[in-house]
Amino acid sequence: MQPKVGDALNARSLAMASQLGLPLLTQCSTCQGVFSQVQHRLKSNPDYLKEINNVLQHQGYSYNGKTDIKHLLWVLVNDYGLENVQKKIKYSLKGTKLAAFYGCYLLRPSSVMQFEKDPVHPTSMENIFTMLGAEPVMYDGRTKCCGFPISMMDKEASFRMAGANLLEAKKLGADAMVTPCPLCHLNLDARQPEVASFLKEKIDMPVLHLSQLVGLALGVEPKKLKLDKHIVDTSSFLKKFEEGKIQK
Amino acid sequence: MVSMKKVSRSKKIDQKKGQKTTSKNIKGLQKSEVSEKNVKEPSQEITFRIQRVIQGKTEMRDYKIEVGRGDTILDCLDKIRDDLDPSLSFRRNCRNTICGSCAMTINGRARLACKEHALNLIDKETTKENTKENAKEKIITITPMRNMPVVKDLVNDMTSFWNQYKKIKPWVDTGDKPLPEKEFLMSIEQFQELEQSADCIMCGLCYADSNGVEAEKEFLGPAALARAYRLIADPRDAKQEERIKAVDNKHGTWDCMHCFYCTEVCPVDVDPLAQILKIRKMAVEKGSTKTRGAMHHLTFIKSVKDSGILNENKLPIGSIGGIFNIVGMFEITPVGFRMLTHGKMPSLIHHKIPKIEDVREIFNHFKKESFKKKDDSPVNYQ
Repeated sequence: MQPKVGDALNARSLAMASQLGLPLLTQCSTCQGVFSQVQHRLKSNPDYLKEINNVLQHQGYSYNGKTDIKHLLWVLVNDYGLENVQKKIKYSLKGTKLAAFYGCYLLRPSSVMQFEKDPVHPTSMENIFTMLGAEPVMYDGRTKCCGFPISMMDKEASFRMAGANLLEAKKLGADAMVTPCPLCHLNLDARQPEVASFLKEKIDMPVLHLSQLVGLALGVEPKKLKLDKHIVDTSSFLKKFEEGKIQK
Repeated sequence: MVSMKKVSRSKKIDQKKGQKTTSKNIKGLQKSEVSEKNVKEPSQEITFRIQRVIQGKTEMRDYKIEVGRGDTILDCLDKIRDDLDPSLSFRRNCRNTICGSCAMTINGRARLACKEHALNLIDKETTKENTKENAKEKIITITPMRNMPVVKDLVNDMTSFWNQYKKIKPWVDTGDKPLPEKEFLMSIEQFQELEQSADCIMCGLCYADSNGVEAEKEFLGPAALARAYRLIADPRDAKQEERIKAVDNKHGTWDCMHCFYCTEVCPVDVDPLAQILKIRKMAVEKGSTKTRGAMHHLTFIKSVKDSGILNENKLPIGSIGGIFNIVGMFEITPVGFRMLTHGKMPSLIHHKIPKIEDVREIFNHFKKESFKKKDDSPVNYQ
């Protein structure tokens, strides 16, 4: 596929948001990364933007390069504000240890993805954990790849990557992993049984979506958050949460 | 393009030199030549936590030294070796981001010691050592490069890096092309196409932080693949087809995870990931349909073109080449079954998005601009 086709298709989606006068909210590191990269390419090259718009205008859209594209994590931290989230917390996550898994596209290339003050050592996920009362687990794998992009091309390498991250978090005592990227979630959770048997290791690491973690603290029922739908049983984490949960 | 890039790099080096001058020879300069900030800024005591190999045992050792604004990590390592511990081993040579010798892991990322200013890292980086409990102490952690064995301290054995590099036959092969009387000439456009990948200084940083290399040692790695693209794009080279074929396989371009680490750590903006993606695109456009990567790519595009949205049920099946690939079906069935039993299977009824004709129009519009054959026509500048 020509990169231009991809850029034009994404610019079309961005133009639709722009037409509504609304920012675009993503809840996926990969979506955020792709949209941000497209926006960066178009904004930094007015001739290219014009070329793409020539096709879109035909269809009743025009992209001005200005649509705000924000990941849920960024909205929670910056727009809504952690202090305001804190005010709404019903239960503290005290006693739980959480390992963040950012997903490559939310952090890199840092020339485009400029949300974190220090893209090498991001802090936004850990700041959320601390604010919710949980203890963040700092490990190398938190900024690495989950292995998903090559799960169809080289299953073994993909499993080794996912396994290394999961086992590192486990070794450091994480009760659960939390990710702002559903694709990472797929490789870390849905494929975890295969990863474990391939590596001949016991892993049993619950993996939560960021929204589910915040939901728990806000008092939403685990079942309503579909925590029972994950492939890896989340009950060990929920048990810890119940034990330590202090009503605020 | 060419000149702008060169200017920006020399400007960077000038700035760096400027900073060094202000910190080292401050007395010899007129006050007006030195910024107020630099004059007033005192040096700071920094702890360098360095991985050492002592009598065969690997351990972390702390070295405290005074560091001034503009001192590079390499300056600091020299100082530690000169003043505190002459047994500390590390590679270095040009001190100017040209030779690529002083590659190591600094604060958890592969970098050149000569390119990083110690106090900038202290100011900007939120490492776990510099948060909360350790806030009183300013720490920079230095370990050898990842993905390669360690010889001693910060010195890596780079054999695997060079072995992968050699596999792509990293020289221009003119094949049967008639040789010109003097030299080959190339147009500015031809040069621009390969210039970025030709900037590689073979420091190994991209290889060290590549997640693909971490997961699969047979993966050629970013530097070798960027070099492969540099030769594929070279109008003097006669082996374009062979070169694309040689890397269009699992441990060639398709083991790349898109983790962006190579692009992120490259000290000279080679952007290896971009070069890898260019080779993948060329391979598919030249008719490669049998690799898992190509099948995945083509299924993805077909799905978007047909319905405007990805058909998540068809993608894995298309990526293995259809349901008659028994081995492939064994590979994807377990995850499919788990998704089904946990209520996570996408709906089997796949709808088209409204105005699908718009999506197809975009595809058709850009179809004309398909891959151009390498322009290896002779250049006449007269």
